[in-house]
Amino acid sequence: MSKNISDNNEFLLLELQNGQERAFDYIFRKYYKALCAQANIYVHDLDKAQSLVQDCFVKLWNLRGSLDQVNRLAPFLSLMVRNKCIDHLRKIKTQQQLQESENYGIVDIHSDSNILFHEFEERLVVALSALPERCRMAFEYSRFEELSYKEIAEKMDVSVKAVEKLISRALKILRKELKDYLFLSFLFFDLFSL
Amino acid sequence: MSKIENILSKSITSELSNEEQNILESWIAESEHNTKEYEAYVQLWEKSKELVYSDSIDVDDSLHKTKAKISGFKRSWNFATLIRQAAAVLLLSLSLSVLFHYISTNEKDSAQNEQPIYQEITAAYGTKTKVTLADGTSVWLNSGSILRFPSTFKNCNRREVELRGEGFFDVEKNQKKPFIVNTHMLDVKVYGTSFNVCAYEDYSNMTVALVEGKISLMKQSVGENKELIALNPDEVVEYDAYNRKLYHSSDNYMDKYTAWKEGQIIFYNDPIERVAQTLEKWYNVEINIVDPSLHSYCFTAKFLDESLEHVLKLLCLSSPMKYEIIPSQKRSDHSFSKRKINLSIK
Repeated sequence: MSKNISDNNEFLLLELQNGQERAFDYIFRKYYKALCAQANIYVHDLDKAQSLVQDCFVKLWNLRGSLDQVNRLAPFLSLMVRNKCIDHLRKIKTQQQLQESENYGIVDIHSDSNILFHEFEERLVVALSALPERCRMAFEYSRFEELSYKEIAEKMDVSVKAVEKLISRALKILRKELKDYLFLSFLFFDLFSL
Repeated sequence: MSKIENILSKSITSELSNEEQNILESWIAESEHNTKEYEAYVQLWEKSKELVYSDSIDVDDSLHKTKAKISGFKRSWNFATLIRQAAAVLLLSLSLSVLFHYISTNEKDSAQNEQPIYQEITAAYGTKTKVTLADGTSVWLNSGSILRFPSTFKNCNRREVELRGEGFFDVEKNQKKPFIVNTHMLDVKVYGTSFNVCAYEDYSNMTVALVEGKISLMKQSVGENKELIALNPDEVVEYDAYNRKLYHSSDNYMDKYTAWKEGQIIFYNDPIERVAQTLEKWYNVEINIVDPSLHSYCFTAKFLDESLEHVLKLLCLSSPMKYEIIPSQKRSDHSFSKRKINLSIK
């Protein structure tokens, strides 16, 4: 994984460790949406996803004194969110088991077997949050809001050519960041189709 | 290379032109590496589909909520949040006023050809009433007073109301439309201020006391408005209708003119006549000053929610005066007369 585009925000981490609220705000604004998107893959409920991600940020603040071990923020946050979501799903599972034990088999689908599958999205969340701001914007408009290049150009107040360049750059970086994962899953798919 | 990257990304996110399609196809066919590269892009695009970025997420609001869960954050030193809260309040009030303006201009359109409807509000004896007019002006009416006002001021170039009795006005500012209180004696013209007008029809005098702002007294003679006098805050004008004279004075005890709206009766060195007048209106009784020598007495007192008997007792305690209450009499038409109070020297 190329280090230069990853977020090695040592300064930010240091500020957070020192209890700087500004650093917390900055980190929150930068990663919140992406982490919600990640959590949503697990819980399929955006409100719940937001609440879980918020809990993670509360935890981040409480842990700020012992963040020395963390050298990259985005993967750390992403991992925290994943664990939180899995915890949450396990809790639900237990509750549902208690309530309706006959549905055990169906409920089981939620848990461990799906965790590996979301790794790609988690990598993507991390990679996206590390993209240059305007690249990320263009990509998100195109991918998640399904806008045409023309619409994106209007929204961002740039030419269509510029949008092409931004998206191309975003995809190139993402492709590089997710390289290992893409080939791995490619193999997976091949195995399945055999 | 850069060009093919553009085409590659465009091929998965958008539509290619024929020329671009050709370039892409020949590039893919060039090598196995290229084919894999293309497929990686397609996969990246396909697999990212599940990630939902919602526009409905309000990041700042969420940040605020999160911080509320953290006990270490004191909100007072969170300046940015304060600013945001202030901005939110501002935005809300702004949108409310825009909405209000929208509604009121709409009203204006529909009310364009309508004559305003006049309403009358009466404060029964012994009660006080508060009314808010269409322009936001608040009026407190004292015991036995009547206010006549239009349901809207939209089509008039001035806001005119008619007062019989005593009222305290807190007038909304509007430089374009002066607010005018018509009484049976003089008119009071204001732009935005608060003041008290006492003009009972059975009084021989009218008193206007200004709390803040600026007002002027007007005399309406045929077709023209003549400005008689302008008042500054803490000034009082008394108009004597018999002698057609104005008494202009400064009074530091403004609350004696306005206390009634809080249910208080206040006298500051007031002559017995004014005390009697006030009590007459307040308790709906008739007061006779039997001994002329009582006219030389002045009273200073403050009452809050007291019965008439109690007020009279207290007044008599502090002076060589006594009172006698004559119960109301049944008249020949089966109605009852007012109770009468006779004040005399002990």
